Amino acid sequence: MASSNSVVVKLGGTLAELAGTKQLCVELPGEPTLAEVAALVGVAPNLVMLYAVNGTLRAADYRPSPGDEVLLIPAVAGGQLTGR
Amino acid sequence: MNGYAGKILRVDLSTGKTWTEPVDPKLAREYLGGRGFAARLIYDEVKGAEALGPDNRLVLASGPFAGVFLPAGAKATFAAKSSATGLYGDANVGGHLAAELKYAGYDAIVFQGSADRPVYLFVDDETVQIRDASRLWGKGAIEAEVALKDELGEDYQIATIGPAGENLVKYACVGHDIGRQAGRTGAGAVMGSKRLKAIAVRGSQTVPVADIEALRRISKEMFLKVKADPGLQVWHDYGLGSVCSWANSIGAFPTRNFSSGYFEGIDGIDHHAMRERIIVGSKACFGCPMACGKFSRVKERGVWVEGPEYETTALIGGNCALNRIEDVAYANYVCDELGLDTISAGNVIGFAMECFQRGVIDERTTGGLAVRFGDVEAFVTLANRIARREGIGDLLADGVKQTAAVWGKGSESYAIQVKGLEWSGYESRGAPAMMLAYMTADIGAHHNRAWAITYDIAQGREKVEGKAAKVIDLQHVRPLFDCLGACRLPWVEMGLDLKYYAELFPAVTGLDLSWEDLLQVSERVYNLTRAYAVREVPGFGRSHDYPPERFISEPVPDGATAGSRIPRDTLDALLDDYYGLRGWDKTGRPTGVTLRRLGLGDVAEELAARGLVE
Ligand code: SF4
Repeated sequence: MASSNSVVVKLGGTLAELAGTKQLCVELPGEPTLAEVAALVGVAPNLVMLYAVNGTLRAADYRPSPGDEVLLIPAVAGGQLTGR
Repeated sequence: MNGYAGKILRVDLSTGKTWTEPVDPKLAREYLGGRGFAARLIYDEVKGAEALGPDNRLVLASGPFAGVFLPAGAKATFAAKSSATGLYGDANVGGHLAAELKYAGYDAIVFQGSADRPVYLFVDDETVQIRDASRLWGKGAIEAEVALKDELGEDYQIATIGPAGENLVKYACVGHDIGRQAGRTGAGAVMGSKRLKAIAVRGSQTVPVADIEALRRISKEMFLKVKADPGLQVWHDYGLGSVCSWANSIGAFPTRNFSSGYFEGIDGIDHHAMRERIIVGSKACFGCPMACGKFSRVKERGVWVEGPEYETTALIGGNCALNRIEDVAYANYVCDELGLDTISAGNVIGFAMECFQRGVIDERTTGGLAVRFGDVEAFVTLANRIARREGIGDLLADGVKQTAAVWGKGSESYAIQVKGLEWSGYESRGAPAMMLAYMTADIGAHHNRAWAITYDIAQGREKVEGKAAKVIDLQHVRPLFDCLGACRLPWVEMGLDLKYYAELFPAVTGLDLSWEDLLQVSERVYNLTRAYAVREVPGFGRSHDYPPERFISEPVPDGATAGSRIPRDTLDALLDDYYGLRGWDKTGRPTGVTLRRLGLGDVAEELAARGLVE
């Protein structure tokens, strides 16, 4: 259930593999940047190629607002992060 | 044969004869198509021949997925003994050529010999003619394609070479679809050596498939998955240019002849700059929902160009320090018309720029031209001289390795290549798996066999353990797409599950090969191309697998990987691990046991008879 200080985070490709889910609701601790939001969901920010907020591309240091939808787009999506 | 047209078209340009051969079902089962067909054919038929002589073969091959409606059966392979490396070389191209070839009734065309005048091959179903191309000789690759389209009709799919191919520049490419290229390893030069300016194909047939209902169901699911992915918009809006700023942020963006992985001018050439200043539309290959190709207009120069995509922006932009997207796009256009591989051209010109700025060469060498980083006019002048082999361009046309060997003065250490092929778009001192991928790519320093930077990041950039195993896995999965005639990007970039491709294969071909069987085909091909190198290049082995000294002894000066380098003992550990896992000996040669395990007993016997394997 989304609280008043949360964002929805959607994860593309293998980022979903790392986070263990394709979409989740994240409670924002203060006013984190997008890179910090990625880290919060278990994704190393340097694996995120691009960030989009409500459908608009944003830089890693952009701070999303409560209620925003954050999309993490991976540098590579297909099966290349984990081992054999 | 389901999934196949069932015929190979043979063209002898010396005699003017053409004929067809049926596709051997055993060849299809053991090599699938595309790169697999080409590798076996070149291994069998090109023994000790000069790459630019009449005895080389030029193979244009599709695969069983090509021309079938799935995302995306669009890829054709151009292959030959490489003019750039002397090894087996291939490059794939999207667009519509592979599909049209199948519709014309051929899985592959194999050229041999050499014409005594410029010609092009005309194929309209069963009508096959070698036609005069004198009026096209000297024209740019796109100019010639447009001229042939005007003459023959828009429904012909055409591949052409530019002046670089005609003049046997060792990294000349083949152009198709007004701006796409089979870029690497010099297939354009092999075409030029055969005086083959173009290939024009039109077909009206269909490709039989084994289980149309299954194909429809699986394909539909794949298309819907791609369509529903919120990341798709990125590929529609920006294409592969979207990778630039990320690569820069992780210290992988080749900058000033790979002296760094961080380019301070990235904002002027990244995806935002592209979108805001030059992109006018998107282009898709056959059956592809991603449409990653961007069509751009450089108003100040009055030209249109497909791209630039990531590799071009990396090698022409960062590597030559051009910090305006208009300049990168214009240089891209110039290379496309000349028929130069933008990766090798950007690498070679970046090297010349560094040599000029270091004083290794001066204006006496360059014919009075100041060749400095960041100068687009210098880039364009050099590209033209290379394509026409004029002045300094005659040496640069032979590639960065040969140029460094002539210029000397330590420049060999920053001639960024492996096996004679110029390094593509990822500075890898902070990425051991990616470094190993470049070192062991069978065609030379190219990323399409294994792209492992994200694996390095996810597993730890310093870490070496486990990296060789991952590189080998990727070297089997990624080139498998080139055997199948499919684009790998819907898997790589949209994350389509590999299980779909495993299910598609029997649906299309009716052959009972599992995913593991398909991966073994890919492993077979990888070992075959390595065996080819062992047979064709005296002393081939471990010494051919090292990167240039810059990556071993010079720490990266700035950016996210500042301080990184990969010392020789680490490289040796990576290679030991890699050779061991592959079943190769310590010198990097496949053993007889490994070749036999992969069904290459005849290859093992031949190499053993020559004293080249245990
Ligand atoms: S992803 Fe790009 S290169 Fe691949 S088939 Fe689609 S448009 Fe062509």
